[in-house]
Parts: sequence; C-alpha cells; structure tokens
Amino acid sequence: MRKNVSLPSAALALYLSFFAVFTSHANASVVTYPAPSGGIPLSNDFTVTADGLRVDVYQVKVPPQYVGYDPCPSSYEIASMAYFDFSGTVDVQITSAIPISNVVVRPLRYNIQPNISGNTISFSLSQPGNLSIEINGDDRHNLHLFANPIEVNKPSPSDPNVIYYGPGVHGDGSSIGVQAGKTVYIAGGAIVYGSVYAGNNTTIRGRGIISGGKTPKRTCIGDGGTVLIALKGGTLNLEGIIALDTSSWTFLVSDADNFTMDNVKSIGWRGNGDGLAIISATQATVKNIFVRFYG
Amino acid sequence: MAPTGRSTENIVIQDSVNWGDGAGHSIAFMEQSTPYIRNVQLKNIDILHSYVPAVFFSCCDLFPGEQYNITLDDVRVEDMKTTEMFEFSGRGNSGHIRDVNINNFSLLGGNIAPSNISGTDSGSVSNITFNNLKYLGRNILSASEGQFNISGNTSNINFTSSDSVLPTPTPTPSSPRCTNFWDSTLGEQQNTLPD
Repeated sequence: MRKNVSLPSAALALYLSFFAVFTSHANASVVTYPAPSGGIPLSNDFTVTADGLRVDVYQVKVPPQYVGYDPCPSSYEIASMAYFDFSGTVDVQITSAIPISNVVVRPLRYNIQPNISGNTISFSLSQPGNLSIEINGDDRHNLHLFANPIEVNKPSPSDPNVIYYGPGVHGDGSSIGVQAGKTVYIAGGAIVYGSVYAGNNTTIRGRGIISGGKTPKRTCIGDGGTVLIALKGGTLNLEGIIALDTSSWTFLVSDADNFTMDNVKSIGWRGNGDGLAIISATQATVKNIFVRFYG
Repeated sequence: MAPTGRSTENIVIQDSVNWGDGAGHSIAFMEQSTPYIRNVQLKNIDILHSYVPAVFFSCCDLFPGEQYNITLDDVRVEDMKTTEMFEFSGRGNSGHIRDVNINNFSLLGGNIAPSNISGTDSGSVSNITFNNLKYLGRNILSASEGQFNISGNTSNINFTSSDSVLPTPTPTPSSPRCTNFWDSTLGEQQNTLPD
C-alpha cells in the first residue's frame, strides 16, 4: 500500500483549475482531467464518477476475441478506459450501458465487492490501483479504471529542461527525440500522438496519454512498427503516464544504470506489441504498473 | 542500437498487473542479447487474463548467456485461457537456466494448463524450485500433479511446500561481452537514440 499524498496547497488547486477539476472533502481529494476534443473518442459503454465528479471515459482498442494464435490481429474491439487522481478514500460510481448480471473487479486481491443497483455499480477505494471492471464476464469490452495517487512535484511549463505537453491533443504520430537530462511531461488531459526515444538521464512522466494510434504498422513484426517509448542509458524514469495503441513494443529499456518505473499503464492490441522489455540494465525497480499487451 | 555488452540484472518488478491477450508470454525471459539475466525478482503480480503461456524461460535464442538467480514471489493467474502454464526451454547457444525459485504461485481460475521443462547439452535447466505452487486451490507437490513434462538436460526440479528450505543462490560471476540483435526489431528508431 502506498502512502496517501497530502492535499495540494491552495495555490496548486487554483493552478489545477485551468486544466483539471479538483475537489476535496474531509477524507479525500480527487482530481479529474477532462478529455480534450479532437483526440480519442469517448466511450458510450460506461459513465464514471469519482466523489461525484465526472470522469471522462475513453475508447481504447484491444485485441479481438481469442480464437487461436495470431501474431498480428487485423481487427480490434473497443474497450473503455478512465483515469483520475485521488488521496484518502474516494467513492466510485460506474454506470453500464448494458444491464448488469454480474461484475468482477480485478485484480481480485483488492477484494472489491461492488454494490449493484440497476445498471450502476459503486465501491470505495482507499488506495491507488489499476483496475479492470468486467461486466457479465466480458473482457473485450471492459472498463480499465486507473485510480492514480495525487501528482506531486509537477514540473513548470516554463522549465527549459522540460518538454511540456499540457492538456490538449499533440503530435502527428512521428517520433520525438529527447536529449540527455530532459524531462517529458504529459499532463493529465493531454494526448500525445507519437513515440518517444530518450537518451541518458531522462524522465517521462505525468498523467496523460501517449498513443501510437497515428503511427503506422507496415508489417507484422520486425521493423513493422515503432517502439512507443524507447529509453537508453544512465538513469531513466517513467512515471504515471498511460500508453495506448502501440505499433510495436511498448516500453524498451536498454543500457540503463538505473531504471525506475512507477504507476505506468499500457493497453495495446497490435502484434509484436510487447509490454515492458528491459533489454539491459544494471538496476531497475518497477512497481504499480498495468500492462495489457499483445506480444 | 549499438551492442551494450551489459547484463540485465538487479531487477525488481512488484505490485503490478499483467494481461497477456493472445501472443507472447505474460512473464518472459527470452530473446536474450546480454551476457546474463540474473538477480531478478518479481513479486506480488496479478495476471488478470492469460491468453498466452504464463511464465516463459528460453535461454538464449540468439546469443550465449545464462539466466539465474531469478525469483517469482506471490504471482496469481486469475484466468488462464491457454494451454501452457510454465515453459523452461534451455535451447540455444550455451545458455543455461538455473537457480529459479517460484514461491506462492497460484492459478485462481480458468484452465489448468500443462507445463514443459526441457534442456539440451548447451542449454541446461537446473535448480528450479516451485514452492507452494497451487492450481485452483490444490497444492502441486510433484511434476505429475502439475502436468509438468520434464525432459532432456535438466536436474534438480523441485516441488515443495512452504516449510521447505530454499536453495542457496549461486554467487554471481563476472560478465563477458556479447552482441546485441535488436537492430532488427526497433524500426525507425534504431541507431538514432540521442546521447
């Protein structure tokens, strides 16, 4: 269990108000991030609230129903994904567009037994977690719910060492080179279409989305796609972001002295979309990640 | 990328969630391009659905090396969908797999899938311990109970309960250099990583 983060300062709350919706009460604080227009379509399968705040639900592509080994599926299904940050205890409500006969919240070790009322389920969370909510046994059209800890020590948009992606839609699918010592920050409410390849002593962090959805996949394997996030050399850090629709491997780490990865989530469907590949590292600590992949 | 010559070592992956949807393996030690994969611990891992083999060791597909001192603690497969649970495949160029401890590995739902452990002269598999292996609530204390097929150059494959004493890890030798084959897999990014 991770320690809950203390409430942000008043100044920070005002700052967040430009980009996110913030609320707090005696036991919790919740930050939600409105989805930008013109990016990933929103889902009609679920509506989600966290302590009464609306949480936007995105469509995410997942592989089709498994019928046998297929190195590169030619079609996909549409599942859902939503994310927010919180501390303390948060009440989550999820309404399904279809009638609920049964629901399973995974991982089972959280032992979440939601209340069901009509098409709505509800439960409380007192620690961050990356969940799959599966209605009527359907794991192709589930809701991925990423309940993050409150973000701390966010970088300034004016920091010259930070490549800052604020809320909104960015990128055309091309690769983004990151020089040594730089930080890439993808804010909650941001969608970056592209891939990142980063050199020595770099950090990629935030709460937003990086998507390979505009990156072509020419052939099934080999050089048929582009690694979504490739990190090489020195101290490397990945934290908090969501990676979708990779066209090749999702995370590739090589030649690292020290690699850390915390609370990173990924959902892929295209072939050769390995999740986390640590190719060479002298030391690595990875925790609290969620990887749905099609290797 | 240029060859790194560096091992993959001192890796901890914990408190994480995995979902293998139809190709690859949920937890894999394979396609090795480094001298060693060693001193790796995975702990408290939930595999939500596994449409792929759950745990796969294959040393070393293209380059020599060894895989050793690897521990999996508290791994749960919530829904096994496919036909293989574990594979240890010691094929390849003088790559050996040894000193692997799997503690508290539980299959919670889905299929009970068979497992395969095989070694060759140049790729042996040895000192593999399954401690508290449990399939759908049943303790697995032998290869036959767990539907393990064990063949070739393998030795000291153990199934134990929690009271057993685990093997002592083998000391780490120094690393030789070897080459890297990832140029063929990186797509447009190869050779272009900034310094």
